[in-house]
Amino acid sequence: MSIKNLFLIVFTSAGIASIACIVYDMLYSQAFYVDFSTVLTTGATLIGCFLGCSLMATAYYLGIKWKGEKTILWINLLIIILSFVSIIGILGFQLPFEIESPELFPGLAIPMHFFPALSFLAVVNPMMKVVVK
Amino acid sequence: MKKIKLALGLLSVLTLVAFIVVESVSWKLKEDGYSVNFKGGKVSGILKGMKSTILFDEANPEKSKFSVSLDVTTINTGNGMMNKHAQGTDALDAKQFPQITFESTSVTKKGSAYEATGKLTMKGITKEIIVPFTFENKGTEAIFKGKFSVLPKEFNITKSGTPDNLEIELTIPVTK
Repeated sequence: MSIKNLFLIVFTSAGIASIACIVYDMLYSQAFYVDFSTVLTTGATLIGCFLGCSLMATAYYLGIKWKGEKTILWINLLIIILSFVSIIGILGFQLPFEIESPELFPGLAIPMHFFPALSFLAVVNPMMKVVVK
Repeated sequence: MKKIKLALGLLSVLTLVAFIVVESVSWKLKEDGYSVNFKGGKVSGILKGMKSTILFDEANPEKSKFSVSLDVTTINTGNGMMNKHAQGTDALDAKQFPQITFESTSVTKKGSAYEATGKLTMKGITKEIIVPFTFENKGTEAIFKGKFSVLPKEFNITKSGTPDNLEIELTIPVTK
């Protein structure tokens, strides 16, 4: 897996995840009449998606280099576990007091925490077939 | 006879003037500008839904009267789960006691500030408290600022995680 292909996977998966997050944010905000834009900015969403996908791609790169393709299953499991663990932070997150309906925040942020992993896992396997060989 | 009538008339006018002078000024709450913040330990938040009757005169603070209520269901800690817990039966019990009220019994001047002694009712329990406050008069508008502490256990707030001491900070802009 070359660095160039690694970047291709990162940009594709992060791009898809970012679009999914932004669209979901728009739909959710309109459906529930809430505005969390001061906390969950588009910039933060993009950075989060790129960081998440970069970390996952790095894990893949290092894992494959270390023990070959058999590490993929374990890395995938780790990605899923870490995505689940990351939602604990959202449940305990304290929003600024001027933001109304904080009880609706987890409904927006929790699915978003899974978008980078979903996108990465959807993209990485077909791209790996080309990339690894 | 005329002199008596004149004297009585003068007395009435003087009494009326004196009454007007000592009558406290009525202030109306500016709905959008006030804040009631609370903080203690890891808990912090705000309360809204304030309704108030404020009679206050800097020159005659002893004639002042405060009657303030807050809506418990408006509590916002910035976290949905914590808001729900705060309104639960072992915390503020918003269903049974939807309001927190304060009725002043006396107001005194303390240096450049003031102190309102009164009855705070929370979760159906009434306790006497003292609220030190300042008053910034800007003509037709003014701001009351106060800070005081309450002990949640005194009001039967026993939920685990509730701090022993809650500091309440008030900023109440008013207009004539």
